[in-house]
Amino acid sequence: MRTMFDRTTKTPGGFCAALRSCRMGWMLIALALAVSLAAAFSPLSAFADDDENLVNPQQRPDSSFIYDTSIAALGEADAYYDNQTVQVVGEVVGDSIREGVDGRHRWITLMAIEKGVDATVSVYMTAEQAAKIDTYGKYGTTGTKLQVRGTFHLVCAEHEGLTDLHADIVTVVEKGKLHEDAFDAGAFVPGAVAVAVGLVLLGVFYYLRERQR
Amino acid sequence: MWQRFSLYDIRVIGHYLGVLVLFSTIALLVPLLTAIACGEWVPATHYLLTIGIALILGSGLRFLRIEPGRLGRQQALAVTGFAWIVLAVVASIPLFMSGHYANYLDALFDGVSGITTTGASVILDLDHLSYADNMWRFMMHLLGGFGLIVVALSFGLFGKRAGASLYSSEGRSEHVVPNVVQTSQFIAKIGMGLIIMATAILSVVCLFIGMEPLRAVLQSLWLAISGFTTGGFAPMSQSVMYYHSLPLEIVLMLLMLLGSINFVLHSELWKGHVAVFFRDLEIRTMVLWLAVMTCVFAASLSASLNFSDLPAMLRRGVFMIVSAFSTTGFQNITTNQLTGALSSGAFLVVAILMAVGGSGGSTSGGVKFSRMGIIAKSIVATIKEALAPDSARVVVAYNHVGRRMITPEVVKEAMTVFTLYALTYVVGALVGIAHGYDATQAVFESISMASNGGVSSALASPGMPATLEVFYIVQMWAGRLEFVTLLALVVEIFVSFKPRRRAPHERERAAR
Repeated sequence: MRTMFDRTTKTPGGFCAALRSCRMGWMLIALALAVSLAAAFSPLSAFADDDENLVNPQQRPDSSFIYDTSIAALGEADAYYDNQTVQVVGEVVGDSIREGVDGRHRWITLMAIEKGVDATVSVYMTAEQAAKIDTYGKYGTTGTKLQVRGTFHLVCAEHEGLTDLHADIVTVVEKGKLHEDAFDAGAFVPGAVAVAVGLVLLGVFYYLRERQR
Repeated sequence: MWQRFSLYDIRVIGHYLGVLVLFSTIALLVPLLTAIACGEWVPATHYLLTIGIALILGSGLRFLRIEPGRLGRQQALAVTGFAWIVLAVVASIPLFMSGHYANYLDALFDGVSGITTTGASVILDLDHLSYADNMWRFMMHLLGGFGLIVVALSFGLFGKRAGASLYSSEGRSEHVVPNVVQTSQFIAKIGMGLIIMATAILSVVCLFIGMEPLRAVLQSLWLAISGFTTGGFAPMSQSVMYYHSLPLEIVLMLLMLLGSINFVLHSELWKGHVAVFFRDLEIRTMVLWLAVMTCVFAASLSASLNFSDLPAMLRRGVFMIVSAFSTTGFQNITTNQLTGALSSGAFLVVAILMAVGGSGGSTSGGVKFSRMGIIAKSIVATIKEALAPDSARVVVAYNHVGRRMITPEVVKEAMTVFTLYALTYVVGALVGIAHGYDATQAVFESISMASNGGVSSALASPGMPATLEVFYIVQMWAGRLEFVTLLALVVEIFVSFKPRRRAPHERERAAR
């Protein structure tokens, strides 16, 4: 979504000036009301990163930014997405991979399923940001759901041409879950029966072969 | 006159296919034990059931002929040809039950891709796949990489005096030692030794980058199997890119290189015959071919906006070149980068590298360096003959485990297989185009399937058209058998169903 820019108009005369000051007053009241309503009804998570809301030095004043996007869209991204600020939500899968020897940065894989097909993106973040992740997704485990805001690189010069997302703000949307397989002896019955039948058939075969000899 | 299959042949073929299916139950025990050890009870039930199905199917097939006798040449051809597809059908049963495939055809696609060591995959949500299912995917690579028949021979499944016809029907012709069974055992020993060594090194790397010990060891084992067998499956959906580790990529490149060199040449190095190794036609063709293609690849990338800086070119470019020529299919760039960010020239170079492939008698697919070298030598011989006086006899020799002469038979074999590969690449591309895909991507994907390369331009994906998927399955199967075995089999089946034309004296007797 492209950013909007302001437009100003000039109106001559004293009447116009009085009208303008009156309008300004109403506008200030409306603005204060809107801010207070927004503060009262907005979710707490929206303010979770107020203290981390730093200025992004890579965000040039004339550049646009894509805000909410999907991991699948980044998986099919063209040059338009390159070096843009994006925000994605996905499940953390795999491991926290150490970058370099000092271990100050980590590689995290974010995954999201859209229309039945999964898509992933590599996220480069600090070890402190990675520490917010409580669970890594794998079989029997749903990983932490993260919201990551950062700069997307189609061919990252810093990481030898990798497609990656350099995280600025990392927010936990949902904690991870464990759902291990429960042992159910009944589920093994069809397999055990099939194995027994197969072994009997094999035994009969060897018996017949020995008789032929 | 074309040879036909008799009922006796069919019963013997069925018996030996049953032997192979029964053998697959031993391989299926590995994921079953993995599932039990890791407490993955649902996959454990899938593998127990599959073992039961394989036992019933295998025993049933063996009943077709209780005492089969020794395999004839034609029967061996049929056993080899069918083995790849029958075992892929069995292999796809637990894959489908895992719930990670959109339909059974997708599971069969991955079964064939795994067994033929193509490495292309249409699996869904790979990152949540169980250890047991992953173990099975790489067991398929292990069996297929060494060659189903080679593995079966090394276990003595066809008897101690198994004929060379079985061995050669799988596209192998050279022997390390005179006995086929001993040759197969030698190949298996070399391979397993290298895989164990690589697993140890990769485990250290994976532990260093912060992976859990169990995941580090298992993923290292799987990557080592996939790398050496030039398979291409990876345990994570981002392939090798997931690990963000240069040392890991270097180890895998070495493994892929070793896997793409003829096992006979491995044995020469093992014996200390270094000069024989470097004089070999295949090695020389490989060095020359890779040097030329690397230059073209680098020049193409330099002219483009992306990947033109040296670190990116070295890290991503070299790995992709090794992965493509060895027909492994590992990727350290995304599919989107492959089709969009890479220059079209570099994209085509990757396809051409896959098309030619690695050495004969290795785990690589494609046309093979030996055939390319022989065709090049044959061109030299033709030019020499054109320039030589009529009375002269032109002789062109080459080194391949000893000095050999270029003969019409050798050139015919090389040209036949080369032509069949080229035709399959073209037909596969046309099928892709007919399904409405981009022509360049269709060409790339067709080459990737028939050469068992496995680097995908995303045409092979979950939910792809069934007709295209079936065609790709046939391409992978045909490419792994290097066409001749499969074509001979198809012709023989066709002829066997055709009514026999009677001789004139038989017709007269019937009329009376």
